[in-house]
Amino acid sequence: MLLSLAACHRRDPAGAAPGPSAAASAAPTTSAAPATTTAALAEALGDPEKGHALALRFECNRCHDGAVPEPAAAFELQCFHCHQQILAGTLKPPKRQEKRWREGVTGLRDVPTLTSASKRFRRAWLTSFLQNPFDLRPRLAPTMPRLAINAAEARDLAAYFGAPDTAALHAEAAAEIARGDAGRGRALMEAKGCPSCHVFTGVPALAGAAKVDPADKGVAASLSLAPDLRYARERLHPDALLAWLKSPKQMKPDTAMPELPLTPVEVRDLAAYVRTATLAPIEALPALPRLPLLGRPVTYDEVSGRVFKRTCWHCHGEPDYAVGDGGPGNTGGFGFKPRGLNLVDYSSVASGFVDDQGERHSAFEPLADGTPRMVAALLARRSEEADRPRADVRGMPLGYPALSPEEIQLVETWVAQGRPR
Amino acid sequence: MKLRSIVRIVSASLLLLPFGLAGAPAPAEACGTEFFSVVDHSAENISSAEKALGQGRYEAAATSVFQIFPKLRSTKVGAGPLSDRALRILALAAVRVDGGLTVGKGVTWPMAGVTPEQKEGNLVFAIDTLRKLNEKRANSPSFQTDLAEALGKVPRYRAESYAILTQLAKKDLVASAEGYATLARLHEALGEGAPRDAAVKRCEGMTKTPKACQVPASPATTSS
Repeated sequence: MLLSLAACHRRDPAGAAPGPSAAASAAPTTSAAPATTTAALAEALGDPEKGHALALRFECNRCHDGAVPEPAAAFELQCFHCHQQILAGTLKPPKRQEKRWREGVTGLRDVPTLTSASKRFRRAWLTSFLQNPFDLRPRLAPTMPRLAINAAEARDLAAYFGAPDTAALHAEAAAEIARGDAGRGRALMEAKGCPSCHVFTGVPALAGAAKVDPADKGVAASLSLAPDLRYARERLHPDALLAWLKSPKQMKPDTAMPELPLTPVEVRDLAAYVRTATLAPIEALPALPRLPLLGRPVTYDEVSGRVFKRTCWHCHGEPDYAVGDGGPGNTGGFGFKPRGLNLVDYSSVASGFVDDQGERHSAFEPLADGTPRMVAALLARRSEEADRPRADVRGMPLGYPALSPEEIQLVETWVAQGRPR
Repeated sequence: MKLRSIVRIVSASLLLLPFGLAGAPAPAEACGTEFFSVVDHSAENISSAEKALGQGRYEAAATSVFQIFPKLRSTKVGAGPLSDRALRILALAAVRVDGGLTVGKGVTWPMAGVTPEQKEGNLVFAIDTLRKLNEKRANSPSFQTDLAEALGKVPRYRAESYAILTQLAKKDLVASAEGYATLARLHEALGEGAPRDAAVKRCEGMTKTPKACQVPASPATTSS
């Protein structure tokens, strides 16, 4: 299962961090027409004040603690905290639902906080990641959702969350790391057991992974939240990487990463390996099969039980049963406009969704290639996982692993059969 | 009251005070505070009533909503999300038995559907309720279909029903089998054979009780 999750990686650092990174790293210069230059530079660098407002609009604090100084979103909107409380037994559903809720809550337990983000992340990387999120944490099922963020908004958010990319600010640390010994760094990584939690895609297999029980609550969060080290060189400024290795908790007090006693030379060598190890290109994922239609009747009850209820309801729910909140895919949230797509019962599913002009459309209307829209959205999620996002269809489920080929086959068969009850 | 009794009461209260304070909720923290949230059982019961409605158990569905909201007949649309759902259930239950619904024994304002006048009165109540619900939840094919289904039961409203349903059908947004059944009957009354058959087919696909999709032949088509 870990290997299959590890296979979800799609990013090649050679192709990463497009767009404003060059402007962001360059030292600002003055020239004629300073107002225009300043405005253009500000736009290229992003506006942290706008970024703060965007963080509220996109409801970053609904998942991530430490995102904004404002109080946390209302509890009903906090996806992870609700699930954490269900698992901890402190949120009491009705008796007969308790068992079902606990069994059903397998995801949305662990989520990285954004505490001290501005000390750590490169803005250029954030700008790219926000527009094109990918599976950064192979042992964590949910991923950053692909929100409706444009390039300018991504830059502003990155300016709010990230550290300035100006090369001069990080030159000393970069030079320090350049003096490190990557070979020793790799040996240290194995000796210190870093592979116990971290995957490092693209380097020769690392030894030293201690046997860790994923069910062990003490290490569960460490395992889930440990990012793939392949992307550390893009994500973190060199000084942030050094500081992190010296003391993760000083950089981020709520981190799940343990403190590793390291000498300054060891820190430098580890950082050198992380930043300079040769990375094999990521292999393109083979396309998962699109299974043929089933040859048996498929009813709404089966599709609802296996797909809608299990996966879709939270975001496409019934507001009357949920304090007026039908979820981001229905009454809006995460910066999405209300789309009115309610997947809770047959009649609601048949009622479709609302477009940008406020017009209702069937969720099953065929796209240009004849694929029903709902099926196209499910297939698009698989494309996103393979780093081939579609511009015209947002993949579903948002921020979750794609449905299995069998589940998509079930939905597609049901639709093809005329959506029988 | 004697002074000694007052002192005893006050003393007892002071002794119990720490227990009361201990039971008081702790100040809330940003997250991780233990608290208990209990789902309102009314929601579950309404959901069960909706299931009964969908299964064709109209009297049971209507009885349930009266048990949850005894004053339902005098509750206005918009009073609350659950009472709105209850009103919808009651309205559709009345529609689907052509107004012949008698439920709510023991409540202040039950529903009686025995005489033709009572049946028509129930249908008018249903139409009025569903119209208000439709206005409240604008641009919802589900509510539009419900309203059109009710309108289709009363001759003077059939044109309006037809307009709503044909528009929804063009965009594949008729939200219920009953909606398609209504549309099929309206097509039949207008002598529109092919659209009628298409609506019947969609109805049969959407229901577990295909009998509900049968369209009685209209006098015009049987008079040959």
